[in-house]
Amino acid sequence: MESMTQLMLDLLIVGFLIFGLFFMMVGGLGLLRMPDVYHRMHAATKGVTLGISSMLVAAALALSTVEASSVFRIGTTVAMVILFQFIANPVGAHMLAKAAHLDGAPQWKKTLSDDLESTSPDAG
Amino acid sequence: MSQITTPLLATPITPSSTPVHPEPAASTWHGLLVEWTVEISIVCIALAMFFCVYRLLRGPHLTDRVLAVDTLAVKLIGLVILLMIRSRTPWFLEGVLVLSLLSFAGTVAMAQYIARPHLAGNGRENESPDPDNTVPGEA
Repeated sequence: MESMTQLMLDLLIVGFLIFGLFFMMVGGLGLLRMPDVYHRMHAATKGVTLGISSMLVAAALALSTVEASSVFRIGTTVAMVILFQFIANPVGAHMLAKAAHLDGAPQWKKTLSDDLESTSPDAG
Repeated sequence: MSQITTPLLATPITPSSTPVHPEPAASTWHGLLVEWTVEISIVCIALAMFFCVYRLLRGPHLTDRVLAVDTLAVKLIGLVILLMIRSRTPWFLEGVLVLSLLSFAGTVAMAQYIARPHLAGNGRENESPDPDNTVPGEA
C-alpha cells in the first residue's frame, strides 16, 4: 500500500516536471525565434510563468515525501512563490512592453495594427 | 538538536568513506524515473538558458536584453528547484523566493530606466534621450 502511494506520487512528480519543462523550453525557444520584442515577451513570459509554477508543484510533492515534518512550511512557501510569479511576471512584462513602445522598439514588419502608434516617439 | 546537519548536505554527516553526492540511488523503478527526469530537465533548462544568453548578447533593442535577463532569472529558479528535488533538501525554498523578488525588482527598474525619458513629455524633441538631464515632474 505504501509503495502504491509512492508510485502514484512519483508519477505525479514526473508529470508535473515534464509539463513544466515543456513550457520552460517553449519560453526559451520563443525568446530565440520570435521576430520582435513584443512577440518574444508574449512567448517568454507566459511560458515561463506556467513552467515555473508546475515545477514548483513538483518540487513540493517531491520534498513532502522526503521531509514529512515540514510539509506545511514547504507548501506555504511554494504557494507564495507561485502567487508572486503570477503577479510579478505579467506586471513586469507589461511595464517592459510599455517601455519598449515608448522607446520605439522596432516592430515586426507584418504587424497589422498598433493602437498606441500616436504615442511612440517616431510617430510625428 | 542531537543531530547536526549542514545546509549543503542532504544527509547527516557520515564517515568519509561514503560519497557526499550522489544520494543513495532509488530502489524502485519509479524512483529511478524521477531521478532521470530531473537529470534530463537540468540539461534542457541549461539549453534554454543558452537561448536566453544568445538573446542577451544579440538582442537588437535594450528591452530584448532586459527580457532575456528576466527569463534567465526564472530559469535559474527552475535550476534551483531541480537541485532541491535532486538533493532532497527543502533549504533552498527561501532562496527561490528571494530570487523571484530580485528578478522582478530588476525588471521593473530597467523598464523605468528605459521609459523614463519619454514619460517627461519631451521624448519627441529629444530623439536620443539622455536620462540624466530629464527629470519627470520638472518638465
